[in-house]
Amino acid sequence: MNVPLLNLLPKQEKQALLNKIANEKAIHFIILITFLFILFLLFLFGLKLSLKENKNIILKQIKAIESNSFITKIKNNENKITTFNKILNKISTLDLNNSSILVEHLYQLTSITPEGIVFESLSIRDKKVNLTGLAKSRQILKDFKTLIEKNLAVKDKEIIFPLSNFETPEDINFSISYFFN
Amino acid sequence: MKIKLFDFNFESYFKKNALALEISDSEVTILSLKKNKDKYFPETWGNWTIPSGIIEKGRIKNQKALLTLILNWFKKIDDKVIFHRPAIVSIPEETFFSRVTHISEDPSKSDTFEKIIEKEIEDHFPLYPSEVYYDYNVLNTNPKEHIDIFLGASPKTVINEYVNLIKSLNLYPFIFEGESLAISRAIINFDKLKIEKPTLFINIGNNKAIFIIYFKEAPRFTAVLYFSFSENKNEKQKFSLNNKLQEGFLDEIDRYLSFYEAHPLHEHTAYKAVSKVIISGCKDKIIDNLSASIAKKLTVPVEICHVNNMLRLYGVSQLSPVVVGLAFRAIEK
Repeated sequence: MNVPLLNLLPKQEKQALLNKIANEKAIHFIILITFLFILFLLFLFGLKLSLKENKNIILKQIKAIESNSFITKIKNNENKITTFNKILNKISTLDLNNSSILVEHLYQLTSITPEGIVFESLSIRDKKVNLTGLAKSRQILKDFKTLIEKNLAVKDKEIIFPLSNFETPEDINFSISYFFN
Repeated sequence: MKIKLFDFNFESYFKKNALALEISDSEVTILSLKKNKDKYFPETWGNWTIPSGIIEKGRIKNQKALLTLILNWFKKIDDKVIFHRPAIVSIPEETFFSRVTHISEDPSKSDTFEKIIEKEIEDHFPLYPSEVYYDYNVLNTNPKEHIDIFLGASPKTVINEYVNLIKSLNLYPFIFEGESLAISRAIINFDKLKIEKPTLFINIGNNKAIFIIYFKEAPRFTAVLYFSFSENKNEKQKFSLNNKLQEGFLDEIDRYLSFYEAHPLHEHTAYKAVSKVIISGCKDKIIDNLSASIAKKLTVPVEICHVNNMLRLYGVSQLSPVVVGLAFRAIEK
């Protein structure tokens, strides 16, 4: 059984109490938000530390993997691919209109090369061909020169054949240059 | 349609931490209770005697002296235990007017309800509505012909005196109610009573007795009687009423009962006579003597409510039913 619950507290005092409650609740709310914000910051800080730690671990693992022979092989292949790409790049800069003439000339050159002649280097620039190599004998070298004059489209039939090519009778390091049409 | 963002219950928020405070002419008592499995135990308790002349018949005559005294007492307990708590304070019964009144309009539907209440105050209380702080409870929620309202009021000057005092004590004024309501609550809650017939509560204080005729859910009649104890040095008779005073007491009770029986205030019942008397208070010997005398003179049963014994297990004595009733208000749902 409840006895009547009267409250003779003046209305303005009740309002003052309610204001006090409102202020208290606002302060509690601010404290709560601040606390949650600090928690969030701590969480982010922890996350950062954790990521940093993970990053170090991953870098270490990468280094360990890189030191592995398999990776070394891959790296070598990478270098080869890079070189090949460079060559491809150079080829792409070639004059494709003249490429068929060049190929034909090289084909003819190799077809007339007698046994006993081994090329060491070949360079073709602006239709000038420089050949170096090793001839088994003086006769074979002379024959090779004659074959070039007769069979290849040598400009003005002029072949630069230095006298040093005749210094030794056998195993001659020769050098031949000419322009072709 | 109104949308409530916060369904805030003003009272329940503060009740959790409230402190009951009884300031009588001769004593200051504080109490807060905790309930555990139907048993109450004191959380905070204090009782101090006020020198005469500081409060007279419920009016604070020397606020400065009273403030200094109470602050010193409070500081002796523990600042943190008492200060900054919401205070449930008793208003002296001499300055508290109450009445069960009847109106024909539903308070939830009437726009002029406050004006009707003010008219009731003007008609039945000795002060104008502008001079009092008032509050009311609707007693019957499903009326057939009219609505019963329990209306209480107290002069603004008195309430303001107590509000200022409470604020100066570093407490928050929270609930102010008449002593008769606190006493009724203490007796009814303590004995878990259902008052189906008019019952007379008599509370014996240090220098005044409060008479309440309670019926169903509200006090119907209240009166205050001042007295002084005999100054007999004999320890056995120290706190006793002399024969003349006791006779005077019985005559007053007889007068109150006759008045109540002659003025049935629409109690919607055939019971017009008081059917039981319950006596409470701090002075056990007076209560025992008085109960025997009343039982002899009146033909109704007389019981004693030992509210003052409630916390004796914990070393708390001199517990006034007023402060217990105030403390009950803080813990009851």
